[in-house]
Amino acid sequence: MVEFLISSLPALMFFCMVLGLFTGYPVAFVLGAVGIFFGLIGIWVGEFHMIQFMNVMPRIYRQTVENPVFVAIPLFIFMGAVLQHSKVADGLLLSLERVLSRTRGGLAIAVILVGTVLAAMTGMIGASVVVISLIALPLMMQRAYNPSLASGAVAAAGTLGILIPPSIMLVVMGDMLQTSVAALFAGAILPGLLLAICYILYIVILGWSKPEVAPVAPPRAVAEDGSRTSALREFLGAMLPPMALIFVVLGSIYGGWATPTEAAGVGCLGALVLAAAKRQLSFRQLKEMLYGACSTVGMVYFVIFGATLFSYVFRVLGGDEMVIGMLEAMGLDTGMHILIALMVGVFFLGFFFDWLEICLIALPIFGPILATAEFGLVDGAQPVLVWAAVLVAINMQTSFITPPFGFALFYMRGVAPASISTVSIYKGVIPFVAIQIVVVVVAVLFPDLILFLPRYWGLLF
Amino acid sequence: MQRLAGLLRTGSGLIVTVLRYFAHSLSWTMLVLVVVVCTDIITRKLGLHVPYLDSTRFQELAWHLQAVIFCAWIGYAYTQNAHIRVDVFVATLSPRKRSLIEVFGCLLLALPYLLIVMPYAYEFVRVSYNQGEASSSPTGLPYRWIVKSVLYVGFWGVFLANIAVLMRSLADLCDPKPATRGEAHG
Repeated sequence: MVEFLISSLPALMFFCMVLGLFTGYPVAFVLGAVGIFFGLIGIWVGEFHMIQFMNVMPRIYRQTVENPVFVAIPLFIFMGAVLQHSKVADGLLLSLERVLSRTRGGLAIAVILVGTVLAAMTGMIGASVVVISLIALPLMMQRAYNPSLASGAVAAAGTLGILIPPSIMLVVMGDMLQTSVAALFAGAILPGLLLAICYILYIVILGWSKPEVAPVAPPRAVAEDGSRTSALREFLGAMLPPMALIFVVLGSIYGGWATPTEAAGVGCLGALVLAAAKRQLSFRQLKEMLYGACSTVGMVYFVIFGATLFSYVFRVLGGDEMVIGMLEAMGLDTGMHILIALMVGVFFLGFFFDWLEICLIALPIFGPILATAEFGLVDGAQPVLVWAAVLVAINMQTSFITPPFGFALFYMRGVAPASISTVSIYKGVIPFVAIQIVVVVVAVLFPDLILFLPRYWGLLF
Repeated sequence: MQRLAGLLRTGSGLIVTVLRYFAHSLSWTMLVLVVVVCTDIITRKLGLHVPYLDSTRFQELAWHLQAVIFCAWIGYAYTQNAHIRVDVFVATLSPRKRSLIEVFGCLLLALPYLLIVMPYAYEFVRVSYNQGEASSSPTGLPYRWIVKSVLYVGFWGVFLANIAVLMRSLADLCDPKPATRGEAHG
């Protein structure tokens, strides 16, 4: 009996964690408490020692405090908060709509473009989907867009940001997999852009075949500011500063001049200058930016505390061996099989959990297995890790918008106008999910889609 | 019952005020962090040497500041309901049931976690102080116990936040019509 209990402890631990998380109590506390309780059970059955709790603090300290790579996280979060509170997105959306005023579905395309360019604003999926829904959905309903198309475009644009650099998720992933954050940033660019282009193509084709779902902008929106040339000038004014900021941040990383942390610091300075130039940097606004960013920082780091404790106890209790044993029992022994198992697992986790929990729990277990596995398509531990990480990232984004459980849809439902029914949200995202799946398959079959840029910029090897 | 609820709310409000004071004033550390990171790049790229502060010290200072920021906020964030939750299944529950979950969560999950981890966090600081631990790099910063005690203080913040949320949720259970609606689930 006790032996059975010992061998199934990691599975039981995982099960209790999922159960605990579903109570809706904060994730950080549930992870930590489950870690503590199973440590205590482990002591009782002789699989864990009281003294091993001593190892927890140094681990938390090295993960969150003495971690120069992680300094990029508060900085990127602050940069995102500055961009968000200085209303860069609102201005960009409206001026893009005017430029695209003669294109069917112009506003929907504008939403995708804003989501791509301002990916830096994205922190946690829940929060970013809420922000972009609040900005874009009411406007699209007012312009008589089909509710399905509107919600599909907003869900896709709001989740794309976790993939497109500078993304906080990629910083966490790089640290968890012990691979270069700069290489991950480079690897995510082409798939991210490909997704954005496919979304836009879909909207254009839909607008062309079914004109009633994607209206052109009403003449008023154009006439307000006169001719299209002035619209173009205004658009460039709204678009160029944030574009230049993102370009400087990413360019300095890819050019090898700065680490992601340093680039994030410069990015914050740039975002503050941008906000000041837009006259959106009053003392009150600066406080809002600081408090908003710090609150997210505190939340993220406290989840990492709990996850560090959980992962440590899980590992001591034999969690790694259990996962490898399970994979072997299912006959999954080649790298490809394991990768597919990871992707399927992450896809289901993405129905309920934000990227933070998924990265912190699944990646430390699968990382070492993937790094030593054999792949026909990709060679070497670092390229495999970068490839797998970006695949997992795209996969997670797909899962967030997949009905009926998609995590992002749940948050969107919460803030969407009542005129948008849940069914129309589900209908609207399905084409976007299909695009995602095609891109995932392409990236699996042609790893160069992900690995070309990191290799080209010399960030691998 | 109502007087008890009032008392609990006052106590909880008091703790939240203290935590808010520290969180809000220490949030300005973020700007210091930006300045430190930028100064480090500029001086290094231009080849300038700031006395006593070479690049290693700047970089160590950066993660010291990171610790100050998140330790000031991990507790306060809980009182403001900013900690991430998986609320797919509980979003539709009545406020009373959600308060119950909060009370049980505080008592059965958060407090046991903190009561076991915090003594180890204290030990972590004590050992570092007794050893006179400094940076492993010869040009790094001394006194590692300072940043380690920041971590320990951060845990105290979380502990206090838990007491505050526990009191507030108990008050909501005793007297379901909160006097300060805005603060109940702020």
